[in-house]
Amino acid sequence: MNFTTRLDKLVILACIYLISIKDAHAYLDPGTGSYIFQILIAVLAGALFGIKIFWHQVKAFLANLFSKNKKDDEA
Amino acid sequence: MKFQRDKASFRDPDGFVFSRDGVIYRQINNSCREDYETLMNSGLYQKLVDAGLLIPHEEVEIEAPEPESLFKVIRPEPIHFISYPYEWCFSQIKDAALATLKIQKIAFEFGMSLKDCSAYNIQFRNAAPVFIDTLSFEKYRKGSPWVAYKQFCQHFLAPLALISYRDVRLNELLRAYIDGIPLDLASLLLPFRSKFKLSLLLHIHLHAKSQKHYADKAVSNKDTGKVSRLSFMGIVDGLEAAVKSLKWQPAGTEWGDYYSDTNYSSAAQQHKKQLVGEFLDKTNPAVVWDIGANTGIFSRVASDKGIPTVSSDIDPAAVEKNYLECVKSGRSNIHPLLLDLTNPSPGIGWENQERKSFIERGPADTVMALALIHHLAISNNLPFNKIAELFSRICASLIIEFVPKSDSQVKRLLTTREDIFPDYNEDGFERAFKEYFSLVRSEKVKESERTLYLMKKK
Repeated sequence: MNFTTRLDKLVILACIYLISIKDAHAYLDPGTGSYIFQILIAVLAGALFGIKIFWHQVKAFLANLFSKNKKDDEA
Repeated sequence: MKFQRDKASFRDPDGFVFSRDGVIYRQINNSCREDYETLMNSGLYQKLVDAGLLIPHEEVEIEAPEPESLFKVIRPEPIHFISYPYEWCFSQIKDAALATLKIQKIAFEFGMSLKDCSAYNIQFRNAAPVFIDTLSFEKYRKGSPWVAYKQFCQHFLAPLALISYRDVRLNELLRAYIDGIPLDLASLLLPFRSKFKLSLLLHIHLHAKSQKHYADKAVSNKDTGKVSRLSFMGIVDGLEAAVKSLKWQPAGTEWGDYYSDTNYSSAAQQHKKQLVGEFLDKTNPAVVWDIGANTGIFSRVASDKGIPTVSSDIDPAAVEKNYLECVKSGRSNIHPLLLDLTNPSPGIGWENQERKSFIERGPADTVMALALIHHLAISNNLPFNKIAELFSRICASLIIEFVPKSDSQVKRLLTTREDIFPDYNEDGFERAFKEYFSLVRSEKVKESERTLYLMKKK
């Protein structure tokens, strides 16, 4: 499953969800749906996590930079 | 019988729990050899045990119930009281969820992953969640999704979201659904505004839709893709952020003054504490159950004496406050528990034996039932003899407070109903309890209408 196919499926799932909400109770095998769903959201989850790590690194870099400048000023 | 196989331990082909002479063991089967050795030799076991996240165990050489499949027998450190997620307050479920995700994150650093994320794998030890299933770890397979994802959402995220967005009583759905709250049901019960929260939209609403969409579809391997390491970590991290963001506080109350409304003067409160302490010294119990403990004021009298105490109450807000105080103060030997004694946890699951009933988990050495009798006898129409009979089944000694009709709390209960309780008096109370108990000591609580009794089971 490539990225566009995954994204398509996620969008389709979101559309199905928005137009049909309260119609079924019985499920036969929720395990399959959960398994596939992770694959569908994997790119989004990975991207958000990547951005979070990057942001933490930027913050750590800036904090380090400012604390270094402060130390230099004090010295 | 020499071995007794645990009734809840039958799903995992890699091993099972059994007891022998009252000691709990776990048989590890050959099928789990590689995963168990990786857990032990990679440093993961030690790291999790040191962090207090995994129950420590010893490998032992004893005869095993199923020697043909045996790899090893281990003896895990015992837990003094087993409790279940439908008996936990909001913060206990939340802390259990966060501990599970933390374990998953650490396991991932060691090339392992949790294959089982059931809330029943968590128990409370020293007022903190600890993972008890040593066989839930497997080697991470590159590209695989997280096999325990569905279970985590059903066992943890769904109840927390339902409590946070709807009502604290919805945690009782965990009692009805032993494998966690079905996500389509959670999705249906959550308010529309929960769809504007990305984590809940994804992990509950769309997840439920996906389950329904693929329920009757055959999926071949080529239809499925892979989940990269980064995406795997992203899913777990997203779940952690989702759980952390969920909050609950009882409507219209401020924690600071919650339950400050008691009808005891400080002298009466002090005297009652002193009497409870003296009665405990006389019985010297190894385990106490404080039933109707409210926020656990008197459980702390037992706790201060070093006695492990189960501190139960019917009110989720009181249990929450009790738990948060235990965590804050580092008070490790109190186990706050959500319990309605008039409808205690039944045995559930296969043969009604997978999860034990509250009564089966007893008896305790001492039960404390303080300021409880009027709620049972008057609010619930329970005759004294039925109350006495139940207590005789769950304890060896009983510290019980009698609250007469002249007490303001009982007057309050009777203001809106007819008094159909002619025998609700001290004589009737003593007569009924003497059927099952010997009265050891009784003392009037100073500056109150109440009497505290110490009884021993006959």
